[in-house]
Parts: sequence; C-alpha cells; structure tokens
Amino acid sequence: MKADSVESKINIVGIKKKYGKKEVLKDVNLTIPFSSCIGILGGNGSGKTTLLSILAGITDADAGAFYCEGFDLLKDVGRRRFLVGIIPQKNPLIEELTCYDNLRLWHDKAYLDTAIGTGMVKKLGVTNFLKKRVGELSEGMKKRLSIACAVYRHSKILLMDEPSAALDIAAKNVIYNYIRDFVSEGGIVILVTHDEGELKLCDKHYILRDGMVSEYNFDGDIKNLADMMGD
Amino acid sequence: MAVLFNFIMILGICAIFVFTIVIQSRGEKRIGVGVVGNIENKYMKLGVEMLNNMDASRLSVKFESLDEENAKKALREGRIAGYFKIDKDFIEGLENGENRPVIYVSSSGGLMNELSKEVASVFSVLIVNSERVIYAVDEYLSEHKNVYDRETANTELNMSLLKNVFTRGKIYNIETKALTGEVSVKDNYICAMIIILTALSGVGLGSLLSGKKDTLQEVLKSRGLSYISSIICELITVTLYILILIIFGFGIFLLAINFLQDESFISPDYFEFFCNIFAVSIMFASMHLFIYELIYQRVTAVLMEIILGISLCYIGGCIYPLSFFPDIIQKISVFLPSTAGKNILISGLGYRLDLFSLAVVFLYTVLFMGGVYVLRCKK
Repeated sequence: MKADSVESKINIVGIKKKYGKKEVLKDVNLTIPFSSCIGILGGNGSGKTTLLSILAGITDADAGAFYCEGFDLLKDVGRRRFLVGIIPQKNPLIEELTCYDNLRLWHDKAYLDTAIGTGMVKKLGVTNFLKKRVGELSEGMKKRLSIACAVYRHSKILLMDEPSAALDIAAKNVIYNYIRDFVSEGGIVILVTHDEGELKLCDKHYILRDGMVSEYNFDGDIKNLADMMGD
Repeated sequence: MAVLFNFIMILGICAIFVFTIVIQSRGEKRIGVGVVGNIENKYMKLGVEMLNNMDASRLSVKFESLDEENAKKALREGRIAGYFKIDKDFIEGLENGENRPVIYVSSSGGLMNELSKEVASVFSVLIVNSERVIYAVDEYLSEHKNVYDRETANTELNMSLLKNVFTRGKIYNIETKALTGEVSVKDNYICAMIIILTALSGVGLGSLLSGKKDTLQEVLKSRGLSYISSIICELITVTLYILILIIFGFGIFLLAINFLQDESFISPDYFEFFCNIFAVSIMFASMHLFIYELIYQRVTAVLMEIILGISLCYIGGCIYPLSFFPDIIQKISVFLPSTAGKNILISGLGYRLDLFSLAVVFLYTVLFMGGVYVLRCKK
C-alpha cells in the first residue's frame, strides 16, 4: 500500500513487532477512513495495546508505516504529536495537581481558555471540577479529564484503550457522546475494547489474532464474540 | 512533609557539627594528673617541672602539684584523672636503696583513667629507674672514694641527669599524623557534612520520585518527549532540590559558626567550591533517580535510601575519618561515590585537585543515568 495523498483515510501498513522470540504483531494492515470509529478486539496478550502503543509512538515498530496526510507518522514525530492523541487505560494525570493544572501541562493557555469556554473541555463536562485536585475525583471524572488532556486542537486521530472500563453508566454515556461528536467532526477513533457499549459505537470491528488483523462482523451479541476469541 | 523532614534533619546535623567544632576549637584538653607529696624537696620540684616539660609517654599530660585534700577534691570534680602519692621519705628511701612504690590514685573506669594509668606507670618507671641509676653511681663512688667527692658527685649527677635528660623539651621525637591527613579537621567535617546531606536528601524525594506514573511517561513519549529528555529533566529537578538543601543547610551552618566564633570559619574560593558542590549534587541526584527507578514501592525505596546513604557515608569517611578503618576498607572506599564526592569538595577548599575522584564522580553519574534509562525502557 502507498501513502495516500488524498486526505480521506489513514493507512497502517505492515506493522511488525517482536518481543524476544515472540512475534506479537506479524503484519498488521488497516485502512481507516476519516469520520469513523473502529474497534479492535482480541484475547489477552494478543497485541492490541502494543499496536496502539506503536501508533502513538510509545513503542517502536520493527517494521511498518502509519500514513496520514501523506506522512509516515511513525517517523514524523512532530506531526504525530499534533495529529494523534492517546488515552491509555490508566490515566496519565498528576494526582497532586488540580484539573486545570493538569490541562495546562498539555495545552497552551489560549487554546485551553477556548476549550474550557466552548470546546472539548466543556463538552466533556470537565469545567465543573477544574479547580479540584485530581486525587479527589472519581474514576469517571479522571477519564474525562484524561481525554481532555489527550485531545489537541489539531487532533484527528484518537487512540483509546478501553476508555469506559470500570465507569458507571452516566460516565460511560459522556464518553460515548464525546466519541460520536469527535467522529462526526471528521476524526478517527481507534478503540481497543471489550465493552459492549463501545463495540456498538464502532463502524467496523477487527480482531487481532496470531499477530494479524482481520475484519469481524459484530452482530451485537457479545457471547458470540467471546466464543470466537476463545477466552 | 518530606521537605520539612529534610529541613529538620539538616538543622539537626548542622547543630551537632557546630557544637562539635566549636568545642574542639576552644583548645586541646590535656589529661590532668596531680602529684601529691613533699614538693619542697628539690628533686620533687624539679621532677614535676620536668614532667610538665617533657612529652610524657604518648599523651598530652599536665602535672599539677597539689596537697592530698585538694587532689581528692579535684578528682571528684573531674579536673584531674588521678594523682600520684609520693610519701615524704620517698627520696630518702631511694637513697637508702629501698624500692618505695609510687601510689597512683584515680577514679575507676573510663578511657581517661586507662590513659592516665599508663602515664602513671611511665612516671614510676622514669622516676624510680632514674634514681636507681643515680644511686648505682653513688655506690660506685662510695667504693672508689678517691675518684671523686661522693656528696658533690651525687648532687651533681642528679642535677645533671634531671637537667640534661629530663628537662629537655622532648626526650624522643614524636611524629604525629593527623587523622585526616593533610586536610584540617574543620575542612574535613564541612565536606563530610555536605556529603551526608546530599546522600540522605533522597529520603525527602519519595513523594516526588516514587510511584512514578509510567503512563504519564508513555504519553509524554507519544508527544515527542523521549525518555532521555524526561530523565534529564528529572535530573535537573532533583539536582536543584539538592542544591537548595545544601545552600540552606550549609548557609545556616556557616552563619552559626561565624556567630559563635570571632573569625571567619572558612575562606574557600566560592566559585570553585560551588562548582564542586554542583558536580557532587548531580552525582547523588542520579543515584537517587536510579534507586527510585529500581524500587517502585515508596517505603522500600525510602528505606533503601536511608541504609545506602548512611552506609556510604560511614565507609566513605564522612562520620569517622578514613584512617580509623583498616587498610582494606580505606583502599575500597576510594571507589565509593561518597569518598570521591568528599575529596572533590575538599579540593574546592584550596587543597590539591584529586583527578581520580573526579573521574569516579563522573563515572558514577554516567552509570546511574544509564541505569535509569535502561530500567525505564524495560518497563
């Protein structure tokens, strides 16, 4: 696959990763159009988090490319940090600081003021507890804050690792609504998930098994999915 | 709270050193030993003067002529470690060939008493044997009447022996070796204290460095901040923390000393001294980073900091001078970060630059930082 010069999709090409003798990712290829949400499923240890880490630039791939707007984001660190945001499973927040201070670590003041006023910080409902210390927040609030920290003004791709895990229904709904908004505004969301609600958000589903990705037609029945993954 | 703990610890250590150095600088104390007897006898008087002039044994001793009542009072009050009791017929007894003992009275127990017992034995040997020599000569003269006038010879021999032998400033040469080598005790203590502060400063870093957010570091990496960059930033932060601690602690120490003493306590080349402190701070900062990277649990990491800090300072000669330790320990300690750090600081007080210690400091910094990077990448 070539780098796509038309800004309509991203291409993940030939991603490989080995840990010692174990080949976690053999040859991962994905084409994802903008304004879509895809779900990546797989058993424990199948390499889902590794794939997200590689796309986010946390881990280096042994081979492969990640094309967006004609650039390989695995090599173009500067462009990647603006285009790609990652929301890991554990929150990257500093518990001793307030929510506002945590946001200021990631965003400049001008953008943050806008985001708080009318942008994604307001959409995520974080404005309600800006002055609270992170250590005092519930898990749902922390997750919303994590998303607010991860989304840059120019972010077009969000990588989310089980974003609504261990959250109550109300908190999940806030996150689902945000994902829908982000996608409707032209972004791409790549979800690693086992959650039925998140699966239903996705336009397409892929299973990562034996280091390879294959498309899966999710019919809404999680039991079938569990049987298929063999867990 | 952790920073407050560090601050209180610094104040405590400073106070201990201030009082130790001020008390020491008020002059060396000599062991006081009393001499009770008929000091009007010319030999006794000359003998006491002789003992005060000579280097009695290996000790710094001050002999004082006292009567028995004052000697007992002085012993009770601790002004003397003990006193010799020489009876009034001691000299006459020796003249008659009798072996009169010299009685030594002291309080029981303690190092000072052991030392002064040794002095007493030396005193006895010197006085008694010297008199024996004199009376041996006297006996000779008695048998050889024509050789010399006995009475005159006896007196002259005594006076000559006491004057020429025992009133000499030194009977034998003593080579004293300072426990801290070429370095003054004061300079050694200052540098040792700084090393102790930097080594134990890691205890207060628990809240900053322990239980670090691996996730935060990963997200930072995704944003283009490599592990090397984040490690360097942490090193700068911890180094600044240590420098601020030293400036406050050391500054308080200097002010306290200068307040208690009239003269200025130290006069280093401040720029060079600060550069050396900076280098040592970086080394210890890298050590703290390594420990907290290695040990995730805060309590375990803090305990390790305490144990390692105290051990390094003890074996590194920061608590007792290195010369106290066996040769093998002294040889090993030159490779320790604490010893190397102390030597670097000492060179900033006007002593010779120790290039070996500088290399050791640099090497440890590189090793610790390398270790932090490897551990972080492995996670």
